[in-house]
Amino acid sequence: MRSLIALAALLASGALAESWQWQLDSELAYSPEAVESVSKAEMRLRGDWAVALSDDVALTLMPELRWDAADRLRRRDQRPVSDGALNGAVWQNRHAELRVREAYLDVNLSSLEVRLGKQQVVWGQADGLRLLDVINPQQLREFNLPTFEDSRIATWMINAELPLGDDGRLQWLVIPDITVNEQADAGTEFAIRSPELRPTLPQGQPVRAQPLRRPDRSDVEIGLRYSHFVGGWDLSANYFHFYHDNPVLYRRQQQGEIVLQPRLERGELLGGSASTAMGNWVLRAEAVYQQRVYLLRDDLQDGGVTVSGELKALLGLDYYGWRDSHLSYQLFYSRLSNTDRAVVRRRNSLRHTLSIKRFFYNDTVELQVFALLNVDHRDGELRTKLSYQFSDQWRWWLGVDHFFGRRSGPFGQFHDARRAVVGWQYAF
Amino acid sequence: MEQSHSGGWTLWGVRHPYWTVVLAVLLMAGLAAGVGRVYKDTRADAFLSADNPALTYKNKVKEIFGLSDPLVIAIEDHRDGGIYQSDTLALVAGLTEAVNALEWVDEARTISLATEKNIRGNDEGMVVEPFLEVFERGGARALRAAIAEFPLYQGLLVSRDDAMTVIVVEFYEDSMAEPAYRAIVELVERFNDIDQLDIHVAGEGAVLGFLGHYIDRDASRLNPLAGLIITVMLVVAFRRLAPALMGNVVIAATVLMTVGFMAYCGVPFFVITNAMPVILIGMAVADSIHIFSHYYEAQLHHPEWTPRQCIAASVGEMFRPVTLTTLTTMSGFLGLWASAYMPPFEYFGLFTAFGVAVAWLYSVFVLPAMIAIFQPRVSPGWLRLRQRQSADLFSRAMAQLGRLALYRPALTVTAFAALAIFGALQASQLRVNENRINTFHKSEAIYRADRAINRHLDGSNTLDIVVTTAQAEGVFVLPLLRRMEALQRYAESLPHVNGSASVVDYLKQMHKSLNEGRPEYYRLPEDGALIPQYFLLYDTSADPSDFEEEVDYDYRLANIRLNLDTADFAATRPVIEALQQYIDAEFNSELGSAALSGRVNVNYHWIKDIGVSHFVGVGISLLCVLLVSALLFRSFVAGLLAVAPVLCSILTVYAAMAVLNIDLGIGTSMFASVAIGLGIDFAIHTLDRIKSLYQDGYEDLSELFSALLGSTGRALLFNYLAIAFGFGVLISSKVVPLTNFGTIVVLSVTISFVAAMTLLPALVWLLRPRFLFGAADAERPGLSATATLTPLLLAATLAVAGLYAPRLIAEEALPAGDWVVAQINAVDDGEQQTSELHMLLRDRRGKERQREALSYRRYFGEDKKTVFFYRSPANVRDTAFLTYDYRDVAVDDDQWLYLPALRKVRRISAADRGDYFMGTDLSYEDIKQNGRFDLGDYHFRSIGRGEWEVDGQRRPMLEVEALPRSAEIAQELGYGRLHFKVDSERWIVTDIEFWDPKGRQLKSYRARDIRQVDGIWTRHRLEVQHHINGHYTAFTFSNVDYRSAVPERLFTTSALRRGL
Repeated sequence: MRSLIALAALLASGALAESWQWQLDSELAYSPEAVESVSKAEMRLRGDWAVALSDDVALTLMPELRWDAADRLRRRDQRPVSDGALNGAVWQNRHAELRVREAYLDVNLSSLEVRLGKQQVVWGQADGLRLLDVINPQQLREFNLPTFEDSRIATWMINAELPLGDDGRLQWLVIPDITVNEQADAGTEFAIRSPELRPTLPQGQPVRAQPLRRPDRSDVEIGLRYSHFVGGWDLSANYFHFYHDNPVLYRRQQQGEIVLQPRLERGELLGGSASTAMGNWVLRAEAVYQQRVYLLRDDLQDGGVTVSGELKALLGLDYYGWRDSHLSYQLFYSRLSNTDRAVVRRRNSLRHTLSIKRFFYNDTVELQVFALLNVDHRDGELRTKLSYQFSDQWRWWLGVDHFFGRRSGPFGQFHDARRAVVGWQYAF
Repeated sequence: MEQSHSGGWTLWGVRHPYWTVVLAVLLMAGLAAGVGRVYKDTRADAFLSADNPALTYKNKVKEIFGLSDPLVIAIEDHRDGGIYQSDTLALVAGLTEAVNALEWVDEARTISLATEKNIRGNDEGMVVEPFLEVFERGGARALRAAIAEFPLYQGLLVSRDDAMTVIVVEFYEDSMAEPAYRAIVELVERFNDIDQLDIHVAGEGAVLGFLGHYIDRDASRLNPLAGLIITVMLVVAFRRLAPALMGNVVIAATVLMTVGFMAYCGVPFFVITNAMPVILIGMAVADSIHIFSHYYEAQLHHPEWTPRQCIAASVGEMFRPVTLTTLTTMSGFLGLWASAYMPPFEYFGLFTAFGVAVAWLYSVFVLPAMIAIFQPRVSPGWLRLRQRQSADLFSRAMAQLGRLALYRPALTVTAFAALAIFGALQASQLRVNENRINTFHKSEAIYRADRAINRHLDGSNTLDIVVTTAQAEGVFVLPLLRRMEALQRYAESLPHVNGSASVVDYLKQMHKSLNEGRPEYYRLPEDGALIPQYFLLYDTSADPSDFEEEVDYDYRLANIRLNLDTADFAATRPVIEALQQYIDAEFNSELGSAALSGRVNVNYHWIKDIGVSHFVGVGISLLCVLLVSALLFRSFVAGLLAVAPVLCSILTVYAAMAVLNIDLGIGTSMFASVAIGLGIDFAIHTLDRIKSLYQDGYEDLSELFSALLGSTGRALLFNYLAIAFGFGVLISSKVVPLTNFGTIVVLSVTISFVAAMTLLPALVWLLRPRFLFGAADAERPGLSATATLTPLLLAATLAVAGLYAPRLIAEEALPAGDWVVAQINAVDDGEQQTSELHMLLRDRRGKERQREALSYRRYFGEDKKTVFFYRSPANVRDTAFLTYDYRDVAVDDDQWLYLPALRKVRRISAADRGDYFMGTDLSYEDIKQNGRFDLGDYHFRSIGRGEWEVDGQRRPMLEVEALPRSAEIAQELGYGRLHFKVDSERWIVTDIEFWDPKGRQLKSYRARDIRQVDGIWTRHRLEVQHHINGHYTAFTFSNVDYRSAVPERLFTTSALRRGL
């Protein structure tokens, strides 16, 4: 399949060279506290080719060639285990990879709109936090620092949308591509260290890791969303029958060693979102209930995992009252239904985010500040970015990403990974 | 006569004659300089205020169907065979071509045998061919047969008796009518070289084109004539040239300053304004006569006095009565202004009142100053006359008249009462009628042409019925077409409606053509599905735009044009009312609704209220005069006495009009207010003089009235003669309404004068009112009391009139700002629109960024949805912006922005209106409003009008200022003030200057490359220069399309995500 796509890409590029749009960008990251201070020296070439094959059929192809000279974010040459059978790079080695970011066919059948192929689908209203936005897995080599657009791993799926009435739409997703989050490799800067996400293994005891147990190839994920615009409100009701994007790490004691068995587990998600504008304010809300989330325990009972229900809710307020500025605040809360003292994660979780954007000089200069405070671990992150659209082709930026708080927290764990970045982009 | 009267500020002119004259000259020069800015507005539409619904609707119809008031060239061939002669047809072709070559003529809308096409069937279907080709192929016989087979054109294009055919011409703009008319008349003279052939030029377009010139010609003849007559009057009265010359200075100041002030205020010279200078001449001279008369009398009675003492005494004596009459006259004209609802009448009342005030100012200050400087001596002849006063013919005549009236005072009162009752009864018989063509004298070619055209053809007067359906292609629905057909049939059954044309007639012709031309098929097809097919077939055979006068571009609206052979209101009123009744009862349904429009309908709307307006005006003017008189004499009885002669005169005029069959129309309806303003003077002078004489010791009433009529009566006689001759000049006017006006005003002033000289003394004799003879008022209030108050009141009135006028003009003559914006917002922008947009953004250093986007817009009911999809460059590609703009202003708009970097559709606040859109210099609000304005955001005020060049063409424009309604709105929008220019015919805003809330000039907006796409005026280029940051934005729209369907799915958040 991958070769087929590559071939298609090659053919397309030769035949319709003039309809391509390209972006070449590069970003250099400097982490003063890391062992190797230049943690990233990446260059990417991204293509975007869209062609209408008829009035109702259009093809879009987005290849990407990535090359990291520093190679500090990855340790392996081989294909990541997270990739599903249908997914992954067309070609890769330790320094570079060629992949098809997205490739899909849009087909309009009367009022039914179908998008077939490798794609990203975004649900929900939250910024920087994922509640409903779980259709695509993520590439977490740089944790949550890249934009979701960059970090989401497009998956192969059928995505059909049907208008119902004047303002309603029903979306139906069938995803045969069971690809999961690509975690940062052990030993790299953003490798998971937090005990909430990675089991703490007893010192001196041998550990044997089993290969990831995947579901049957015929298994699929199913998503349904009904959205409706009524009385100025954008409302949606969502259901997702899925595999968790993080493999569950079961542990058991066997013949004096700890056997780690990663396995993909099913989950059910039921949720909804709402947003509306009220004067200068925009209110956003999102709520999700997952029937089964898998929580690490600090003992080996039940394979070291407890299954619980989880309710997550987010309330966001955006303010547009200041000229050329955008202020956004979000309150995030989650609660586990089944937990005990051995479960590493706390029952309740509370986070605040604050985002400020300010544009200058006819939108050519943009300053972004994003702050996240994770109350339960007293950790968080602060990201700032200043970008300058020098011309239609050139954009430059520089930024600082800062993690703070307890090192046991999901953000504080990257305390040493704080960094300054500088980058440019050239479009042609 | 005591010199003690000569104290106080009223003698400023006598004490400081040189300063007074210098100031007077400066003031006169300042205001008279405005005369050069006078512009004419001879349109019939000018009689309606710009926001009148009938006029607004007519303009809307004009915009949709392109229908304007046409000029009709009628070729009348008296030979056998009528116009079907090769030389006549060649003339039609040549003249059509020559007319179309004129720069003012909208070539696409010219209709003649040389432009119209025949529809007939053949073996392959439908053939559409020009009539002239029919003639070339088959000769006159074939052409006659083709016209005979095409009922629509019979009576419309060629008369049913074959004697006449027409070339119907429309101009791009009404303002072009005058040069176009002149050029067409020249062409007609050049082409008319065939014996027994007449070419007529008529129609509303011709009326419009000729009326301005006609009025100019009339005015240039009347005004000098009036001046001459007045001069002769003064010379005869005083036997000296000096009073005539000085009187002319007062006249010149009055007329020039009034007209100049009017021009400064931006008020046009309407058809009826022509009467104003003549009226002012008559009234200005009256005050001069009184001042001079007393000046000479002072010289006679006090030969020892110096001239300066004489003029001081004269002013002291006459200041009060002149001021009183000025106030009462002004109140009469202000009453007309207050009661009139038609702008020309309003301004007539207002500015004539202003002129009366100027006449007072120059008569009581400047004229005495001139007398003080030049010290004219009384004529020996006049002295002899005065010394032999009893022998003076005029004095004797007046004394005789008084004796007659007082011989049997009760009889005199009874006679006038009988006359008044008879007049009141006859007033109910008055007929309201008006016809623009009757403005012209019957000997004028245009008048004769109109008669000839209406004799041969269906008529030169048009009435439109606009049929509106709920959706595109609604007029294709067969049941609706059948209703339209029935409506046409009904209309044609009404008197004076001789023909009609609509899309139904074309469909019938097409149906007949496709059925072997059989006459029985001249009807609508039975199968409704055939209707769109017929149009399609026509489109393939001919130009689809051939039907743009009958249907709009998306077949939602249709127009039925009726031709009437008269524009007489009395004749068209029953037609309009019957049609409206039929439409309400029989036509309007869920299929569609109809509304009347067109010239005849607009005329109906402004003429129908003339009667009511007239009687209300008379009532208000009488009331004003009564109140002012009562106030000045401090007696209600005095008010009633002062009004009595005027009331008698008005009622007598009503009787005369009814008996002589003079209609109440534009000209005649004004008479009463004018008559009140002028006629009251006689009564005031009489009452004041009676009081004065009584206080001077004339206790015997016989002696008192004898003295009154011998002196004041004589002066009033000359006053009356001056006015009568002044208005008498109007009788010789070629502008027929002015002739009628002059006639009845002379009649009315005559009655007022006679009543003041007879009825009033008789009433005083019988009633002996206390305000004249009472002990309490034994001492006549001098300058210390009434005369001190009256100038103050006068000055206040003048100030109100003067100050109010500019505001009035800004808001009404210049139409109201809100109304202008309502027009802008009502401009058709299509049910849907697709366009490609190129944006150029340039910063102060010249660095450019470019964007390409596709924009779609569509109305969903009253709500508007707009979406932009960015296509390039890469950094903004796939960005999309969607907005729902709700008709209900109470509901906030909804807006979404799709940013590809987030892969997320973000709901954004529509309240963030002042933010700049995507790095451009246009705010989100600017983008949303798309050249319109939210009436809830600003107070709008029209501040000027003029012509400016846009896209290489001089265009008529209005200038409007917009101020945010509150500081909060100003902050929200980022604008503290806007100043924009709007094309006053297309209602497209072409230029806007923006200031920020701190008062700094913010940016300049220009809309250019404005041209029609699918019949809709479209701005193809928008440029915005930001003055503070130096940034510049240019939007260029291309491939604008209002016809292609825009799918509903594009206006969803899903479409934003998915892209195009």
